[in-house]
Amino acid sequence: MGGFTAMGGYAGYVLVAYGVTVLVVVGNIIAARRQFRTTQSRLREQMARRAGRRPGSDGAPAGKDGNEATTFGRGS
Amino acid sequence: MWNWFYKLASPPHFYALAGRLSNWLLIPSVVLLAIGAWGGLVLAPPDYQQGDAFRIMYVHVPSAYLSMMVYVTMAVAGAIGLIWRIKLAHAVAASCAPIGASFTFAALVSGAVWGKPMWGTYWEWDPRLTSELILLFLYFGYMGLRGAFENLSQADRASAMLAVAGVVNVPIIHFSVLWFTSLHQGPSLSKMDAPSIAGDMLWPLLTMILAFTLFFLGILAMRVRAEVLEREVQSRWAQDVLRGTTTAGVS
Repeated sequence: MGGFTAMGGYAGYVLVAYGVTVLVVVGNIIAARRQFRTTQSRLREQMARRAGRRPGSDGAPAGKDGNEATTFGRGS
Repeated sequence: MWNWFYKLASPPHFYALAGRLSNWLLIPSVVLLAIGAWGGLVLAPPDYQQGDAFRIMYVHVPSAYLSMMVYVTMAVAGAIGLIWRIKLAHAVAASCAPIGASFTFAALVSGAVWGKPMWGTYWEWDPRLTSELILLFLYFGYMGLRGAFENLSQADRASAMLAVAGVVNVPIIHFSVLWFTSLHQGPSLSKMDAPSIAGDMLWPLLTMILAFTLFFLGILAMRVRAEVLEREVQSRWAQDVLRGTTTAGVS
């Protein structure tokens, strides 16, 4: 077991390589989750502000059915 | 076929699909990462030349592969966004950049700590290492360029052009060990006719590559959801999702 953990003297290098990779993997999960939550709460605040500015409005877009921006994802 | 493609490019449909896919991709990827790491660290025998230092390969090679694969994905998505003006493609491209940058960083660091015991140095201005470093700068440039624009569609177009122009670096990275004199070892895995790696060392590597690929797709799905929501905030389905009226956002 001691021989395995020493890895012929290379354990430090192997540990750093795996450690950085684990940090990158975990960091990606945390960053992606945080990005989603931050975006959600920011957009909710924006919607609430808009609704507050226009009493009676639910913040819906001006399009006929309020769904025009979703058509096949095509933008300008 | 086209119907399916059009449906996939529809933001509400993609948003819901990505939400379901992210967990279905991330959970198996973490399981495969654990199996691959166990295989690479414990089960694979030491290399006859490099000893146990070769075990760095099991994180270095998948990271390096992902760094290039993510860039190609970003460039293809950027090109689709530029040519067909599909907003979803720009959202995919924008979501790729931080993932690709992080794995490029991992590839450079794991390569450096592999280089020290094998080459006697952490860094050498070798064609493979230098072109990989340029890839990291391309990712940073892409993210910096996006951040420099207030207008989202301008940011999309400018960053897509950079991504497409920068894709020329990917074959340079891959073939640099063949085109130039390099400290870095030549390809061993891509020689599919006769991979110069033993079977008991190969399976953990292939497992890790599969795990990294699934992981990328899972994280990409999570990130694209946030991008899509941001871009579609004016549409009713996105507002319904934000209000919690609907969780999936599919009509």
